[in-house]
Amino acid sequence: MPPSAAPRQQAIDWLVEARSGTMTERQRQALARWRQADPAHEAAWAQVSGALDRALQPLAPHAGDPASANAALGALLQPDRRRRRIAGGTLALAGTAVAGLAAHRLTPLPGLLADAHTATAERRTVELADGSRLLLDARTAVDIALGADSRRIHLRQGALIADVRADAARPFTVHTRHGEALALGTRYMVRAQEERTQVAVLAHGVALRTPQGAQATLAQGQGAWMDGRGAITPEAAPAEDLAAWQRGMLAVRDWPLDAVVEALRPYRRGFVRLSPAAARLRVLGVFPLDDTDHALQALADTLPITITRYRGGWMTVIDRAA
Amino acid sequence: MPARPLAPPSIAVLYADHHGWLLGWLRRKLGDSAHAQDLTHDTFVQLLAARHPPAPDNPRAYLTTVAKRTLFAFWRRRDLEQVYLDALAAQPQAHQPSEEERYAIVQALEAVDRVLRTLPATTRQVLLLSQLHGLTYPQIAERLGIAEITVRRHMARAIGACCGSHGDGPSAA
Repeated sequence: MPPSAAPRQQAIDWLVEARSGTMTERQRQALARWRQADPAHEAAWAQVSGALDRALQPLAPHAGDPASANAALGALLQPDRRRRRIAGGTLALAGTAVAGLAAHRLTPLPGLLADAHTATAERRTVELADGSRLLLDARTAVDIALGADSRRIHLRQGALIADVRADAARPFTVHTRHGEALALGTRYMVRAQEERTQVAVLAHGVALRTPQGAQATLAQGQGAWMDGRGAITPEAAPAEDLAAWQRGMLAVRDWPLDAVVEALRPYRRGFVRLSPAAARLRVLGVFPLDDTDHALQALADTLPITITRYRGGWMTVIDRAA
Repeated sequence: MPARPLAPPSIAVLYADHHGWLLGWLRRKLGDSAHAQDLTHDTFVQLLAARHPPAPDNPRAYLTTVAKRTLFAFWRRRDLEQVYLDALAAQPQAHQPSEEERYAIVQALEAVDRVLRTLPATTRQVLLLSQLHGLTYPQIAERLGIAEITVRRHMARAIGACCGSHGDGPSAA
């Protein structure tokens, strides 16, 4: 489909296709082939897709929030009347910009739409061309590159469980900004957070490596963290607990409340505020991810906290009970 | 206003000689003294960051040019914020942002606006519906009443604009 133009123009054409929301598996493979065909293609692709993501990056926090996304759209659609100060008129303009969108209920990922992604409260299985499968947790974005001698999954944010089809000639790795996890078997979980990346092995083994050169091999049932400094540290919780989200559950043993709230966020539309006094309370229990109201109620039933909802649940404030 | 080291001596001289005049000029444009102070400050910060020193023979013309740019950016920022807040208030479910959140939002809107401002409204709308709202091209085509191939053309143009806009001066982030 892309014409035989300069790689940059071809990369733009491919990116238009990749962000269409309707890209087929065949086109995906054609794109992968194009990227691998020539280092200049890959470089143009990285430059063009990187530029788009960087341009929209500032809006990322608004993408998960329909009201805010609508308002941002309205603001950015107004013409730039550089020389004139405007007093009236903005309200009417805002009204028209919003009218078409108010009913829109999608909560997509931060503008950085990747090869595959999930929305708030959505879990989804992605079938790869090699027969492997990725289960994506809510608010997750991945790039998929299946090549002739390697299979690389780039986890940009969120978490996934990889069910890897054995293929000795093409090692399967999941990358995050903190390191990579190479499959030595079939099934493992990777979660990318801001500061660090968690890996948990559900079957067979996984080899970890950080950009700074630290290495570790995890056996079934084990978990570990790779942090921003390149260190690998073990995680005490059983791997099955760390991957409980695959069944829509959050299982925690002695977590601080702020970590629990953090884990509920990808499943909750709207904001949750937690007071510092409440943040350090310790939590033990199993909570439903697909019904975060219920999960919050369960927390309120067992902890000395008060939970107040504003604006129909849009804003939730958790404080330590007096 | 915090004290600021005035590195290039020419700026220091400019500041000493024309600060009061610029403040007066901006106050007349804005009809507001507090904002005029902020923008005077911003204008001199711009001068410090500029690569070309002011022409020695007509410093006020140079100052006015830079101050105008600062002024337009200020008005644009104010428009972005106002439309955003009005649009948010028009939606029953929306939460009203705190002062701190407002600041972050306006910074974000400004950064994206800098990249998109040269694009026609429909092109901006297509890009944002796709990348911010997550609509597919067929959904966008239906919503805007245009052909899907046109949606693709707008996307290509928007992506091209994003690629061409790197090195857009120093930014806070």
